[in-house]
Amino acid sequence: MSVIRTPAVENPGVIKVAPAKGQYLHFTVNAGGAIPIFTFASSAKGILYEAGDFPGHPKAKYEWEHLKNPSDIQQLEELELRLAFLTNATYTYTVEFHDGTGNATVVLQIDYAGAPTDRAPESFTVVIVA
Amino acid sequence: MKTSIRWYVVFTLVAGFPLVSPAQSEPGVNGWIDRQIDFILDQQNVGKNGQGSDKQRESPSTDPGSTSLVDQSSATDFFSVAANVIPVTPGLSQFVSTTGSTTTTNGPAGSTTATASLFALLAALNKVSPTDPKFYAEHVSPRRFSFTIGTAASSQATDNTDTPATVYGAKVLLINSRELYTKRNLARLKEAQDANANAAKASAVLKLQIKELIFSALNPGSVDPGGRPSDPNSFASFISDHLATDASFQATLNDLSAETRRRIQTLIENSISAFSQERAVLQEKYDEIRKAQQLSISYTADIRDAKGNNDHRVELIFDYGLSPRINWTVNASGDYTDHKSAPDFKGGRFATSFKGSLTQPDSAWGKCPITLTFGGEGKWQTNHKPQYTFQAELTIPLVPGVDLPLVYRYANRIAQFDQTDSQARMGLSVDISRLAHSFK
Repeated sequence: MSVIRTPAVENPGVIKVAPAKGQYLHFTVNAGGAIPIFTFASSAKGILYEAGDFPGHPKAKYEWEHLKNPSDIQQLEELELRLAFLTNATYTYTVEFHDGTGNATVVLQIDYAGAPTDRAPESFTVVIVA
Repeated sequence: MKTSIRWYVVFTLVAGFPLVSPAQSEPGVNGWIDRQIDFILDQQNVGKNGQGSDKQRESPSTDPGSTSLVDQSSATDFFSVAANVIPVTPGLSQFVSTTGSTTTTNGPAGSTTATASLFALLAALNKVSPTDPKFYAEHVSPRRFSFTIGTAASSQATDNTDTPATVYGAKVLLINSRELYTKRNLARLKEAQDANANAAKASAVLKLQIKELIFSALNPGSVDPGGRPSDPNSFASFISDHLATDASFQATLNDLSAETRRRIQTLIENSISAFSQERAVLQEKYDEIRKAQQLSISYTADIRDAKGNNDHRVELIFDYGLSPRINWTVNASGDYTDHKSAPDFKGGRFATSFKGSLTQPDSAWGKCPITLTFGGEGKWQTNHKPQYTFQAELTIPLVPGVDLPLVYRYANRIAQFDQTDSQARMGLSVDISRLAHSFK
């Protein structure tokens, strides 16, 4: 793999979220290329989103939320964003933690640049707390 | 195969160090798992492929000072500049040849051309980044058109003036099977997306399984009967303290029993098919798109001052990927020289080249591969004997977006002179968008 991975905020490995307090995660993928190819998957629920699921695909910015909807909630879940560079050379992946009181904190932000046959996985564990 | 994979996994489990720089992968246990997967896939000998060689970044071949003997079917998607920094004078034969038939004819001085696609011009006019995916998707046709303008060297002997010519050029891609937005290529990308999705799903499951396995092995009293952590908070703390960074994970790895390592090894091996499939599909689809054929038609004119000759060329250009690393190009052109003080020249030209990538690109926006090109050209003009030229070219990337073509060219005769000629040429090509990207 020749992906150049440049973290601005390094992957913490695990994130605690209390959905009962209104906390949730906000995800952003910024793409720089012709046709982004990526998948957001859960160990519990399988494939949650593919790039083509978003209205307006292909586009420069993809956003979604997780754990805001009660049906998302799953204890001990591994969330993986998997990027492919076949037709899109650069990505920026950002995860924001929303604390339920209107404040948001960036808990992960990483730039990636890759060659066409490269792919880059990025994952962390979500632990649901009260 | 299976033995070597097992040996590697056991070795790295015991030795506890990654064999790939962790700076380029996720930290901690996730990055370690990714590297085990990659090693196994490498062992399966699914090769990687290089970056393409079909984009012409040099001056058109009609420019007498160009380092390009054969024109490529497609220009840059964006904007590029080519400068031929070492003029084609004097001939290399002055330095290396001892035969009496060679010549040291003074050629024209250096030249510079700039090429932009209609797509790049539209992006500039709309103040949109040319790499914006939506804009790229909505402007397929403008990528078929490119324009060149610049100056070309002139010599009194062949052009009837020393004043540099103004170069005008236009190129239209008639067949572009490498365009992503064709029905066939979109179907290929769908296959790539599906393989990516299957790998993402498998990876998420595998990583959580391995984390839970390590946790249960080192905290047997903190798991439920199914082996899962009974206290999510303890599990979260364990990941933070023992698995999240490379340093902490190394120490954790060393504490694992042989049985736990064996179980990790089995988990990785059992889920390898999704990752193998993903890598194979990405490689296959890339090769299929890269090797697809392209056909373009171009017109180039070197317009000189009132007493100088004007050169016109209409050309069909065909590109085909013989292999993932070798691109084959054929040119067939009609040439016309408008002489001011002699009968006009009319003729035809056939040229072909094979361009091979010697290295892999370091990333899509990084340096291009080093390429080696062998080409040949035959020109037949009225009132002239046929002219045959051979060229070898080594293109060395200096930095992302800046390439240095080094050329040796031999011709059986020069335009109007019945003398052989050999020359060394050096150029400089700059892909503005690629260079700009490297400064971001």
